[in-house]
Amino acid sequence: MKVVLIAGALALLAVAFWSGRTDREARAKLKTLEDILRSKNDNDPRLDSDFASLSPAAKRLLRQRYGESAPERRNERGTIVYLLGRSASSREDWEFLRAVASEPPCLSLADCSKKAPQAEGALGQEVTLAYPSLVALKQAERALPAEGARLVIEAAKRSKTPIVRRTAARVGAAAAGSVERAPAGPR
Amino acid sequence: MSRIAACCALAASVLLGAASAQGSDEELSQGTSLEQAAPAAAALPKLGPLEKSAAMKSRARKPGADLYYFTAEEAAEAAHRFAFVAEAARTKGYTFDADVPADIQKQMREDLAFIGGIQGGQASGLHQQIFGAVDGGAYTKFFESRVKSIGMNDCGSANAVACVIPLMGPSKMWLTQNYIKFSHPQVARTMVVFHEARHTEVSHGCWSHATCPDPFQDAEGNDMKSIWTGAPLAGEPACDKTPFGSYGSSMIMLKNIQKFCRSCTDKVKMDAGIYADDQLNRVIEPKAKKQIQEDLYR
Repeated sequence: MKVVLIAGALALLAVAFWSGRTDREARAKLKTLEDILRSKNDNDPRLDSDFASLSPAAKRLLRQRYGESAPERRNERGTIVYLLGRSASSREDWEFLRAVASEPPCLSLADCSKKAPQAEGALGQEVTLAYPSLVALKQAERALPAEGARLVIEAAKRSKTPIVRRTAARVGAAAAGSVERAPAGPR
Repeated sequence: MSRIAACCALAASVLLGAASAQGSDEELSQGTSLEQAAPAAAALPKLGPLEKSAAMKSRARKPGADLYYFTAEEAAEAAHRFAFVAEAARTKGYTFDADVPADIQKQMREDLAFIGGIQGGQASGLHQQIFGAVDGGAYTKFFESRVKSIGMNDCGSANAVACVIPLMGPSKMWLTQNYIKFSHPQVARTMVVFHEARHTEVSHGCWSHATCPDPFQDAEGNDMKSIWTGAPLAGEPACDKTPFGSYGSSMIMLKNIQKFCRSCTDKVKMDAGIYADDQLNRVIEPKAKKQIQEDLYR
């Protein structure tokens, strides 16, 4: 009986130790990400080197960080989607990307819930407004023919944001071919 | 500042005549060196009364436009008024006005340092004509031989990030607070800056935008329009007819970065592809579009 109790306690300690270590690693990744986002430097090499593999704990933290960021932080959100999409493998990963691809349109960079007060837009804004969804779509395109990726593209085809729908249609059409095709664009 | 005065892209290129940057086969086939082109600025013809009147009309029809713009008349006048740009082009570097906030200066410097650090080597044919190789030094030279000073302006819009206002100095780029306020990927900020740098070229009518066709529809048959305003782009001066215009040259730059940059993160290359593919939609002339597709999408 005594032996069993000691073995159980040791097992619990090991789990706690391992869990704590995983948690520390996940938090370290999040801290690195915060540094990069603060710097606004998308060419920080740590984006390539430090996030190549993400533990389930790190993924959970990143998803949580995404949910906490203001919708107007388009590049921050897109960067998190980029990182999570790069190592998407589990059902939760694909579900997250599918939800991002299906997000309602962000109506203005100052306030996603309101249309811009003036009639003008500016260069590239349509892309930035849809940026997180477009990144989810791009990462899904790269992961084809994974079933989860296909579901992300299908969800994007039903998006209420025209540029997401257009891009999803192109990605879907191009999926069968190996040659890069120019966007169909206006006719 | 009035919205009309603060503009970043010429309207109604059909009015430009000899000053036009769009559509000439000769211009379609040649690259642009500002050092070579600048002396031609002084020779640009003045617009006659009829053309002036038409230019005024073109200004008036801008409501709901996706982009604000300057008129052909203003570009031509700027070419005369700032003919000394040829001299300025020989000086290197740019300066910030005193009123440019430190955080905006810092971001701009960092973005230009990012571009200045690019290593690629290879380049597509069109990129070679416009910028040379995919190389930070070439991009820095391109920018610094065109933009001499950077100031603050609202550019006539709550959404604008940057603009060029020819009559306030064609070699001056204006930034808005949105340059750091809005959360654009770094590649998008760079695209805007190089798009605007192209608009400084008075010798090419500041590479006027072309009027988008009417109807202007996407592949699904939907009207191309701004999703935040619903304003259709059809009939608005928000397109290009040549690969060498502001939309064309900046998308060629980004697509080359996507394909050839060796010092870029995967995210930067992905972003460059996303924005380049989108900007290609603004090149409407079939011949020009085909030229870009053959150059970059094969």
